[in-house]
Amino acid sequence: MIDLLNTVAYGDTTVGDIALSAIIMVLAVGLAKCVTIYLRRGIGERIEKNYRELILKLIYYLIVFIGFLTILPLLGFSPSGLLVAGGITGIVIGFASQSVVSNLISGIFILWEKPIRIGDQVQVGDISGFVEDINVMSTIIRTYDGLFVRIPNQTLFTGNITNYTGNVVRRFEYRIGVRYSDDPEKAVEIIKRVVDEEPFALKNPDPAVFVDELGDNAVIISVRIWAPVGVWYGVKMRLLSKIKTELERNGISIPFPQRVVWFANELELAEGSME
Amino acid sequence: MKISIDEIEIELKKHESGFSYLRESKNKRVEKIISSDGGNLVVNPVEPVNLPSYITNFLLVNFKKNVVVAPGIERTVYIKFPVEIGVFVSGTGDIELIDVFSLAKQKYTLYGDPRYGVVCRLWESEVYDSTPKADILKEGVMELFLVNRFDEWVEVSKCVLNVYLMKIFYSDSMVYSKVKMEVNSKKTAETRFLIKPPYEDMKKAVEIFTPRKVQIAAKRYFMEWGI
Repeated sequence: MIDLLNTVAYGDTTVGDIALSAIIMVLAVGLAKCVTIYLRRGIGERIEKNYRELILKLIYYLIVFIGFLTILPLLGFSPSGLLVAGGITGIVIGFASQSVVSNLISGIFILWEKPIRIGDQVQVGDISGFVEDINVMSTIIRTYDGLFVRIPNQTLFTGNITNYTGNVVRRFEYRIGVRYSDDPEKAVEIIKRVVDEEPFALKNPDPAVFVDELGDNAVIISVRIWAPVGVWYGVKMRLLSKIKTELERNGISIPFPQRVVWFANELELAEGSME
Repeated sequence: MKISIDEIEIELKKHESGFSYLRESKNKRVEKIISSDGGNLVVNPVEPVNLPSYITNFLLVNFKKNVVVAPGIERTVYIKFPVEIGVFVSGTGDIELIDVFSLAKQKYTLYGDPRYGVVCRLWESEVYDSTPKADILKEGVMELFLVNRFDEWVEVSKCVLNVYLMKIFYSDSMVYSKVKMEVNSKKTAETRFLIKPPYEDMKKAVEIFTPRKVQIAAKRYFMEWGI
């Protein structure tokens, strides 16, 4: 066994050195994981999740990098020599792994610019969902139907990002049709009252309720409401049902599509059709 | 044990394995099981930002009439704020909130712009020059020490407060809090809660947001989006 460990693998490096390097790297990765788990528990909710994960990732990679630097002499590489060789090697590797480097740089810029944060609701291209994680190479999205989507950071950085939770508040709109025989002003008053009773329908920016269109089948009332981003969807779902119930309670109906047909000549019944 | 507060009934029953807590009103019923050998039930006013659900730690009191303040003037006025009632259980060591309810209307608003502003619990209040009467189950009285540090006249229409350091005092007849608002310009001011009890017979309420439970307890709030 000792003979095997002393066997020279290449240059001055023995099999034992390689085994020791492997053990050091395993220990470094293990230590990095332990430290990040311990810190995650310790930090808890005291730091925003986005920053907490960034700090933990930096600490993780720093420990692994120190482990990597430690094993370099064992494997017969000098860290300073690597720096010299790194210039030429870097160019070669750079060309060979252009997309990897591109994703890495994009990842760093995303972490720096922070157009999205963990937990945000975003749309990137045709993918919508919650940001689960932002890694150096890719970003993980959990779609609304629970699918795991990995988006390379280069795609994310160069594409259009819509962040639905980027602002403090957001607006949503209903278009409600009432019959031509109903009083639209009364309908507007009822809707305003229902909106006012909803705590999270914000007072400022004030909600806008107005007759927007004289449609084919109904008078269209537009209802525009601002709500805090964290609760807007619940408010949107809750309010429409309340508005419908309240309008109907006050004798105002939402009409079905209808069309009045006029005949140029009065219709005549065919002879014998009534027999 | 049974407590009735307006239309709300709170009941605490002892069982073999602990207690059961029940709050019942016209349209809501909250029931919880408390696993404990003993302890106390504390019911007192809490920071008014918990209902219908906690989304912010800011309270905005809109004055029904604006207050115009001369340069260098220091004045005490009184406004009202909404009251929420918290139910806590306490035993050995910690104290834990188990329920919050309110008889006051709940409404929220945005202070500032949609990008950088803050969502606040909204309350409309008259401005009084002496302690007003208030229904303690719905409204508390806030002593507002208004200071104009600016060298021009200013018009104050609202007061925005970070409730993380709100101190609430209460007695059988009043819920009370004390605030200092320093106006720095026509558009900006700083607000903070004062921690001295107004009257000796008043008890200090148990708070939900203690410095131990919140990340950073800012002592002041800088109103930069208008006053």
